[in-house]
Amino acid sequence: LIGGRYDGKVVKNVVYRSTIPAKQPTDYPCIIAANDIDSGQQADLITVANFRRIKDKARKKVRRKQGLEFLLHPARQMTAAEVAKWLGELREAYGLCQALGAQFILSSGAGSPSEMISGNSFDEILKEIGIDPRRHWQELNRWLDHVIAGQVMV
Amino acid sequence: MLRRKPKRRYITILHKGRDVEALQIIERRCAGLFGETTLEKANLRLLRSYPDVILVRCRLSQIHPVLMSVTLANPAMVTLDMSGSISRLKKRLGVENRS
Repeated sequence: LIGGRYDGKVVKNVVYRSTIPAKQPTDYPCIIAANDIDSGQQADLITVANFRRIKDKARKKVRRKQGLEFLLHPARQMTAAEVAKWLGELREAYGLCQALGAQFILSSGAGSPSEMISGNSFDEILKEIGIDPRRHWQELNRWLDHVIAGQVMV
Repeated sequence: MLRRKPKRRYITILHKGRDVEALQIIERRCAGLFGETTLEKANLRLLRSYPDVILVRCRLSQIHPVLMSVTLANPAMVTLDMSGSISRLKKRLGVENRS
């Protein structure tokens, strides 16, 4: 589970996110996340709000093994036509991630428990995009292990 | 020819607001995304309602559009669990005590 910012309490199986690299070794797993592709060169993960806008930049700037995160919660406010377009963009983004050797990450973007998404529902969205859910979760686990392995922990 | 009863799935959904409204939101989303035909085929029914949780039934063949519609519903809803039998689902969630 990729959680939010570290709030002083370590929860088991949660990988925290930070915008700046830790200066000292931490006692919790943490990934560096960025919202902007231009400033996210050193980040482990870049959150993409609008794929159309960053598509060309992503081809040049996204590193191998870097994660591209797409949030699901804005899709709730979309109309059916917009959702269809958004799913098309996700399909395209997945293809780009495969070509670049980057990790495609679909995240709920939940700010509260009522916005969370169950595993079954995630799998259905992945199937709609054309991704084998089992393979996706395996790849994501491997990617997380790789990112955390590169981190200095106490 | 032997007529088989279509397989069904029972789903519990966490929501906010009234139970009937929650079902209507899911139905509207399903019709918008996948069409009225799919919604009709899904045969979505509200079976039970508990505080903030509804138990619905749908056809197994249409589980994909139903789960997608719940996920993309606005306001947000959460699929808590899914099962092939209503009793197993209630047991797993312990909802019998909630009513």
